[in-house]
Amino acid sequence: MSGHLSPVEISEWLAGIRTPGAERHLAECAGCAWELERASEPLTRFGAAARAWCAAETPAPRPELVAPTARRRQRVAAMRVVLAAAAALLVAAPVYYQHQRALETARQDGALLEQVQTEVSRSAPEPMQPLEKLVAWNSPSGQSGSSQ
Amino acid sequence: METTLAAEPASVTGIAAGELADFDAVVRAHQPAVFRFLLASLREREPAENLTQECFLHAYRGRRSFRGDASVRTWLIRIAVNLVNDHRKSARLRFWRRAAQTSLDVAFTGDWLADRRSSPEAEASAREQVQAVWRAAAGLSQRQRTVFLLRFVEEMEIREIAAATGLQEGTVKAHLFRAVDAVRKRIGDTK
Repeated sequence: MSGHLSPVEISEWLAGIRTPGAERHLAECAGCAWELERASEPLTRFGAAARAWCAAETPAPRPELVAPTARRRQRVAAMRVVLAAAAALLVAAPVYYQHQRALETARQDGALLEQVQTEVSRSAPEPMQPLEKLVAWNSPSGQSGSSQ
Repeated sequence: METTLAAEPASVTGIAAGELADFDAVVRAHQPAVFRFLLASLREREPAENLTQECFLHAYRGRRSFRGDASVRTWLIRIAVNLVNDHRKSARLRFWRRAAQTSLDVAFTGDWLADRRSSPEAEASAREQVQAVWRAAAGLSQRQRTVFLLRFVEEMEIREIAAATGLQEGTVKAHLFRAVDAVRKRIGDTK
Protein backbone atom coordinates (compact mmCIF):
# COMPACT_ATOMS: atom_id res chain seq x y z
CA MET A 1 0.00 0.00 0.00
CA SER A 2 1.40 3.38 -1.01
CA GLY A 3 0.66 6.70 0.67
CA HIS A 4 -1.78 7.51 3.44
CA LEU A 5 -5.32 6.26 3.79
CA SER A 6 -7.81 8.11 1.63
CA PRO A 7 -11.17 9.29 3.07
CA VAL A 8 -12.82 6.40 1.21
CA GLU A 9 -10.39 3.92 2.76
CA ILE A 10 -11.10 5.38 6.18
CA SER A 11 -14.84 4.95 5.57
CA GLU A 12 -14.14 1.40 4.41
CA TRP A 13 -12.21 0.71 7.58
CA LEU A 14 -15.02 2.10 9.72
CA ALA A 15 -17.46 -0.09 7.79
CA GLY A 16 -15.43 -3.18 8.59
CA ILE A 17 -13.75 -3.49 5.19
CA ARG A 18 -10.21 -3.99 6.38
CA THR A 19 -7.39 -4.95 4.08
CA PRO A 20 -4.01 -6.23 5.32
CA GLY A 21 -2.36 -3.28 3.57
CA ALA A 22 -4.47 -0.73 5.44
CA GLU A 23 -3.91 -2.59 8.68
CA ARG A 24 -0.13 -2.52 8.19
CA HIS A 25 -0.19 1.14 7.28
CA LEU A 26 -2.27 2.08 10.33
CA ALA A 27 0.18 0.21 12.54
CA GLU A 28 3.05 2.27 11.14
CA CYS A 29 1.47 5.66 10.43
CA ALA A 30 0.50 7.69 13.49
CA GLY A 31 -1.08 10.37 11.26
CA CYS A 32 -3.51 7.94 9.66
CA ALA A 33 -4.23 6.27 13.00
CA TRP A 34 -5.07 9.69 14.42
CA GLU A 35 -7.18 10.53 11.36
CA LEU A 36 -9.06 7.26 11.76
CA GLU A 37 -9.71 7.97 15.42
CA ARG A 38 -10.91 11.45 14.60
CA ALA A 39 -13.24 10.06 11.91
CA SER A 40 -14.71 7.44 14.20
CA GLU A 41 -15.27 9.85 17.09
CA PRO A 42 -18.60 11.35 15.90
CA LEU A 43 -19.95 7.89 15.18
CA THR A 44 -18.90 6.59 18.58
CA ARG A 45 -20.34 9.67 20.27
CA PHE A 46 -23.55 9.33 18.30
CA GLY A 47 -23.92 5.71 19.40
CA ALA A 48 -23.28 6.54 23.05
CA ALA A 49 -25.67 9.50 22.98
CA ALA A 50 -28.35 7.46 21.22
CA ARG A 51 -28.03 4.65 23.74
CA ALA A 52 -28.24 7.03 26.69
CA TRP A 53 -31.16 8.89 25.17
CA CYS A 54 -33.05 5.70 24.32
CA ALA A 55 -32.41 4.35 27.81
CA ALA A 56 -34.10 7.44 29.21
CA GLU A 57 -36.97 7.02 26.76
CA THR A 58 -37.43 3.30 27.38
CA PRO A 59 -40.80 2.69 29.00
CA ALA A 60 -41.31 0.31 31.87
CA PRO A 61 -42.12 -3.11 30.48
CA ARG A 62 -45.85 -3.53 30.05
CA PRO A 63 -47.35 -6.29 32.18
CA GLU A 64 -48.75 -7.99 29.11
CA LEU A 65 -45.31 -7.75 27.51
CA VAL A 66 -43.28 -8.95 30.46
CA ALA A 67 -45.35 -11.92 31.40
CA PRO A 68 -46.72 -13.69 28.36
CA THR A 69 -45.55 -16.93 29.98
CA ALA A 70 -47.42 -16.21 33.19
CA ARG A 71 -50.51 -15.16 31.29
CA ARG A 72 -50.28 -18.30 29.23
CA ARG A 73 -49.93 -20.36 32.41
CA GLN A 74 -53.04 -18.69 33.82
CA ARG A 75 -54.95 -19.36 30.62
CA VAL A 76 -53.79 -22.97 30.59
CA ALA A 77 -54.76 -23.39 34.26
CA ALA A 78 -58.21 -21.91 33.59
CA MET A 79 -58.59 -24.09 30.54
CA ARG A 80 -57.64 -27.14 32.59
CA VAL A 81 -60.28 -26.34 35.18
CA VAL A 82 -62.90 -25.94 32.48
CA LEU A 83 -61.81 -29.14 30.75
CA ALA A 84 -61.78 -31.05 34.06
CA ALA A 85 -65.27 -29.81 34.85
CA ALA A 86 -66.48 -30.80 31.40
CA ALA A 87 -64.85 -34.22 31.70
CA ALA A 88 -66.37 -34.74 35.15
CA LEU A 89 -69.74 -33.76 33.77
CA LEU A 90 -69.34 -36.15 30.87
CA VAL A 91 -68.49 -39.00 33.23
CA ALA A 92 -70.97 -38.11 35.94
CA ALA A 93 -73.99 -37.49 33.72
CA PRO A 94 -74.31 -41.07 32.38
CA VAL A 95 -73.60 -42.50 35.85
CA TYR A 96 -76.25 -40.29 37.40
CA TYR A 97 -78.68 -41.13 34.61
CA GLN A 98 -78.00 -44.85 35.02
CA HIS A 99 -78.41 -44.57 38.75
CA GLN A 100 -81.71 -42.77 38.37
CA ARG A 101 -82.88 -45.31 35.82
CA ALA A 102 -81.91 -48.16 38.17
CA LEU A 103 -83.85 -46.52 40.98
CA GLU A 104 -86.88 -46.08 38.74
CA THR A 105 -86.63 -49.69 37.57
CA ALA A 106 -86.36 -50.87 41.16
CA ARG A 107 -89.39 -48.77 42.10
CA GLN A 108 -91.36 -50.16 39.17
CA ASP A 109 -90.22 -53.68 40.00
CA GLY A 110 -91.27 -53.16 43.61
CA ALA A 111 -94.68 -51.92 42.55
CA LEU A 112 -95.09 -54.84 40.16
CA LEU A 113 -94.05 -57.32 42.80
CA GLU A 114 -96.48 -55.79 45.25
CA GLN A 115 -99.22 -56.00 42.68
CA VAL A 116 -98.34 -59.63 41.91
CA GLN A 117 -98.20 -60.39 45.63
CA THR A 118 -101.63 -58.91 46.05
CA GLU A 119 -102.96 -60.94 43.14
CA VAL A 120 -101.36 -64.16 44.34
CA SER A 121 -102.56 -63.75 47.93
CA ARG A 122 -106.17 -63.74 46.79
CA SER A 123 -107.83 -67.17 47.24
CA ALA A 124 -110.58 -66.45 44.71
CA PRO A 125 -110.80 -64.28 41.60
CA GLU A 126 -111.93 -60.77 42.21
CA PRO A 127 -115.54 -61.31 40.91
CA MET A 128 -116.02 -64.17 43.40
CA GLN A 129 -114.63 -62.40 46.39
CA PRO A 130 -118.04 -61.29 47.73
CA LEU A 131 -119.09 -65.00 47.81
CA GLU A 132 -115.91 -65.91 49.54
CA LYS A 133 -116.70 -63.34 52.18
CA LEU A 134 -120.07 -64.93 52.64
CA VAL A 135 -118.53 -68.41 53.02
CA ALA A 136 -115.95 -67.11 55.40
CA TRP A 137 -118.69 -65.45 57.44
CA ASN A 138 -120.72 -68.81 57.69
CA SER A 139 -117.71 -70.91 58.54
CA PRO A 140 -116.38 -70.66 62.13
CA SER A 141 -112.98 -71.77 61.01
CA GLY A 142 -113.10 -69.34 58.14
CA GLN A 143 -112.67 -72.22 55.68
CA SER A 144 -115.01 -72.94 52.81
CA GLY A 145 -117.51 -75.67 53.46
CA SER A 146 -115.61 -78.56 51.92
CA SER A 147 -116.16 -80.63 55.07
CA GLN A 148 -119.90 -80.01 54.96
CA MET B 1 -35.69 -1.19 -4.63
CA GLU B 2 -34.85 -2.85 -1.39
CA THR B 3 -35.78 -6.45 -1.01
CA THR B 4 -37.80 -7.65 1.92
CA LEU B 5 -35.99 -9.53 4.60
CA ALA B 6 -37.28 -12.92 5.66
CA ALA B 7 -40.56 -12.49 7.50
CA GLU B 8 -39.89 -15.13 10.11
CA PRO B 9 -36.75 -15.93 12.02
CA ALA B 10 -36.67 -19.37 10.52
CA SER B 11 -33.06 -19.33 9.46
CA VAL B 12 -31.84 -19.96 12.97
CA THR B 13 -31.09 -23.63 13.38
CA GLY B 14 -29.86 -25.84 16.22
CA ILE B 15 -31.38 -26.42 19.63
CA ALA B 16 -31.62 -23.51 22.04
CA ALA B 17 -35.07 -23.81 23.54
CA GLY B 18 -33.55 -23.60 27.00
CA GLU B 19 -32.51 -20.01 26.40
CA LEU B 20 -36.14 -19.08 25.85
CA ALA B 21 -37.62 -21.22 28.62
CA ASP B 22 -37.94 -18.22 30.91
CA PHE B 23 -39.45 -15.83 28.42
CA ASP B 24 -40.08 -13.17 31.04
CA ALA B 25 -36.33 -13.03 31.63
CA VAL B 26 -35.77 -12.75 27.88
CA VAL B 27 -38.10 -9.76 27.73
CA ARG B 28 -36.45 -8.08 30.69
CA ALA B 29 -32.98 -8.64 29.28
CA HIS B 30 -33.59 -7.57 25.70
CA GLN B 31 -36.45 -5.09 25.76
CA PRO B 32 -34.13 -2.05 26.07
CA ALA B 33 -32.08 -3.03 23.02
CA VAL B 34 -35.13 -3.84 20.92
CA PHE B 35 -36.88 -0.62 21.90
CA ARG B 36 -33.68 1.37 21.30
CA PHE B 37 -33.30 0.02 17.79
CA LEU B 38 -36.97 0.61 17.01
CA LEU B 39 -36.97 4.10 18.46
CA ALA B 40 -33.82 5.06 16.57
CA SER B 41 -35.25 3.54 13.39
CA LEU B 42 -38.73 5.02 13.57
CA ARG B 43 -38.04 8.18 15.58
CA GLU B 44 -41.48 7.96 17.08
CA ARG B 45 -42.11 6.70 20.55
CA GLU B 46 -45.57 5.18 20.17
CA PRO B 47 -44.85 3.01 17.13
CA ALA B 48 -41.56 2.03 18.75
CA GLU B 49 -43.37 0.91 21.90
CA ASN B 50 -46.03 -0.95 19.92
CA LEU B 51 -43.51 -2.67 17.70
CA THR B 52 -41.43 -3.60 20.74
CA GLN B 53 -44.45 -5.38 22.13
CA GLU B 54 -45.17 -6.94 18.76
CA CYS B 55 -41.57 -8.06 18.47
CA PHE B 56 -41.77 -10.01 21.71
CA LEU B 57 -45.15 -11.46 20.82
CA HIS B 58 -43.70 -12.65 17.50
CA ALA B 59 -40.72 -14.04 19.36
CA TYR B 60 -42.94 -15.81 21.89
CA ARG B 61 -45.10 -17.36 19.21
CA GLY B 62 -42.07 -18.33 17.13
CA ARG B 63 -39.84 -19.37 20.00
CA ARG B 64 -39.90 -22.99 18.88
CA SER B 65 -38.29 -21.97 15.60
CA PHE B 66 -35.34 -20.50 17.48
CA ARG B 67 -32.48 -22.97 17.23
CA GLY B 68 -29.61 -20.94 18.60
CA ASP B 69 -27.46 -20.34 15.53
CA ALA B 70 -27.63 -16.68 16.37
CA SER B 71 -27.86 -15.15 19.82
CA VAL B 72 -31.27 -14.37 21.28
CA ARG B 73 -30.50 -10.67 20.88
CA THR B 74 -29.64 -11.07 17.19
CA TRP B 75 -32.78 -13.15 16.69
CA LEU B 76 -34.93 -10.47 18.35
CA ILE B 77 -33.28 -7.68 16.38
CA ARG B 78 -33.99 -9.61 13.23
CA ILE B 79 -37.66 -9.73 14.12
CA ALA B 80 -37.50 -6.00 14.90
CA VAL B 81 -35.85 -5.26 11.54
CA ASN B 82 -38.65 -7.11 9.77
CA LEU B 83 -41.28 -5.28 11.79
CA VAL B 84 -39.75 -1.95 10.87
CA ASN B 85 -39.82 -2.92 7.21
CA ASP B 86 -43.43 -4.08 7.42
CA HIS B 87 -44.41 -1.01 9.40
CA ARG B 88 -42.89 1.34 6.88
CA LYS B 89 -44.70 -0.39 4.06
CA SER B 90 -48.07 -0.56 5.76
CA ALA B 91 -48.07 2.85 7.38
CA ARG B 92 -46.17 4.52 4.56
CA LEU B 93 -44.07 6.25 7.13
CA ARG B 94 -41.98 9.08 5.93
CA PHE B 95 -40.60 10.27 9.20
CA TRP B 96 -37.07 10.09 7.98
CA ARG B 97 -37.91 12.08 4.86
CA ARG B 98 -39.93 14.79 6.51
CA ALA B 99 -38.65 18.27 6.04
CA ALA B 100 -39.91 19.19 9.48
CA GLN B 101 -38.27 17.62 12.47
CA THR B 102 -40.26 15.19 14.56
CA SER B 103 -40.68 15.76 18.26
CA LEU B 104 -37.98 13.19 18.89
CA ASP B 105 -35.61 14.96 16.53
CA VAL B 106 -36.07 18.03 18.64
CA ALA B 107 -35.67 15.97 21.80
CA PHE B 108 -32.46 14.40 20.54
CA THR B 109 -30.24 17.37 21.22
CA GLY B 110 -27.09 15.47 21.87
CA ASP B 111 -27.35 16.28 25.56
CA TRP B 112 -26.82 12.64 26.31
CA LEU B 113 -23.11 12.70 25.68
CA ALA B 114 -21.36 10.50 28.16
CA ASP B 115 -18.22 12.61 28.50
CA ARG B 116 -18.92 15.89 30.23
CA ARG B 117 -15.42 16.53 31.40
CA SER B 118 -14.50 18.51 28.28
CA SER B 119 -14.69 22.27 27.93
CA PRO B 120 -18.04 23.93 27.11
CA GLU B 121 -16.77 24.67 23.60
CA ALA B 122 -15.70 21.09 23.00
CA GLU B 123 -18.97 19.87 24.45
CA ALA B 124 -20.97 22.14 22.17
CA SER B 125 -18.94 20.93 19.21
CA ALA B 126 -19.51 17.30 20.19
CA ARG B 127 -23.23 17.97 20.59
CA GLU B 128 -23.34 19.48 17.12
CA GLN B 129 -21.52 16.45 15.75
CA VAL B 130 -23.99 14.07 17.32
CA GLN B 131 -26.95 16.01 15.99
CA ALA B 132 -25.31 16.14 12.58
CA VAL B 133 -24.92 12.37 12.55
CA TRP B 134 -28.55 11.98 13.68
CA ARG B 135 -29.72 14.22 10.83
CA ALA B 136 -27.38 12.58 8.33
CA ALA B 137 -28.79 9.17 9.22
CA ALA B 138 -32.18 10.50 8.14
CA GLY B 139 -30.91 10.82 4.59
CA LEU B 140 -29.80 7.22 4.34
CA SER B 141 -31.78 4.51 2.61
CA GLN B 142 -33.69 2.25 4.94
CA ARG B 143 -31.22 -0.58 4.66
CA GLN B 144 -28.19 1.66 5.05
CA ARG B 145 -29.79 3.23 8.10
CA THR B 146 -30.59 -0.18 9.59
CA VAL B 147 -27.03 -1.46 9.31
CA PHE B 148 -25.69 1.92 10.45
CA LEU B 149 -27.82 1.87 13.61
CA LEU B 150 -27.04 -1.77 14.31
CA ARG B 151 -23.32 -1.07 13.98
CA PHE B 152 -22.95 2.19 15.87
CA VAL B 153 -25.89 2.21 18.29
CA GLU B 154 -26.26 -1.50 18.98
CA GLU B 155 -22.52 -2.07 18.51
CA MET B 156 -23.13 -5.29 16.65
CA GLU B 157 -20.39 -7.08 14.74
CA ILE B 158 -20.68 -7.43 10.97
CA ARG B 159 -21.62 -11.11 11.24
CA GLU B 160 -24.30 -10.28 13.82
CA ILE B 161 -25.73 -7.60 11.54
CA ALA B 162 -25.70 -10.12 8.71
CA ALA B 163 -27.60 -12.60 10.88
CA ALA B 164 -30.04 -9.94 12.05
CA THR B 165 -30.79 -8.61 8.58
CA GLY B 166 -30.50 -11.82 6.59
CA LEU B 167 -27.86 -10.22 4.38
CA GLN B 168 -24.46 -11.57 3.37
CA GLU B 169 -21.57 -10.12 5.35
CA GLY B 170 -20.16 -8.57 2.18
CA THR B 171 -23.50 -6.88 1.50
CA VAL B 172 -23.61 -5.58 5.06
CA LYS B 173 -20.14 -4.11 4.63
CA ALA B 174 -21.14 -2.50 1.34
CA HIS B 175 -24.25 -0.89 2.86
CA LEU B 176 -22.32 0.15 5.92
CA PHE B 177 -19.56 1.68 3.81
CA ARG B 178 -22.09 3.74 1.84
CA ALA B 179 -23.79 4.79 5.07
CA VAL B 180 -20.57 5.76 6.82
CA ASP B 181 -19.24 7.56 3.78
CA ALA B 182 -22.50 9.49 3.34
CA VAL B 183 -22.64 10.43 7.02
CA ARG B 184 -19.01 11.54 7.03
CA LYS B 185 -19.55 13.67 3.95
CA ARG B 186 -22.64 15.18 5.51
CA ILE B 187 -20.76 15.97 8.70
CA GLY B 188 -18.02 17.49 6.61
CA ASP B 189 -20.62 19.62 4.82
CA THR B 190 -22.06 20.87 8.04
CA LYS B 191 -18.75 21.72 9.65
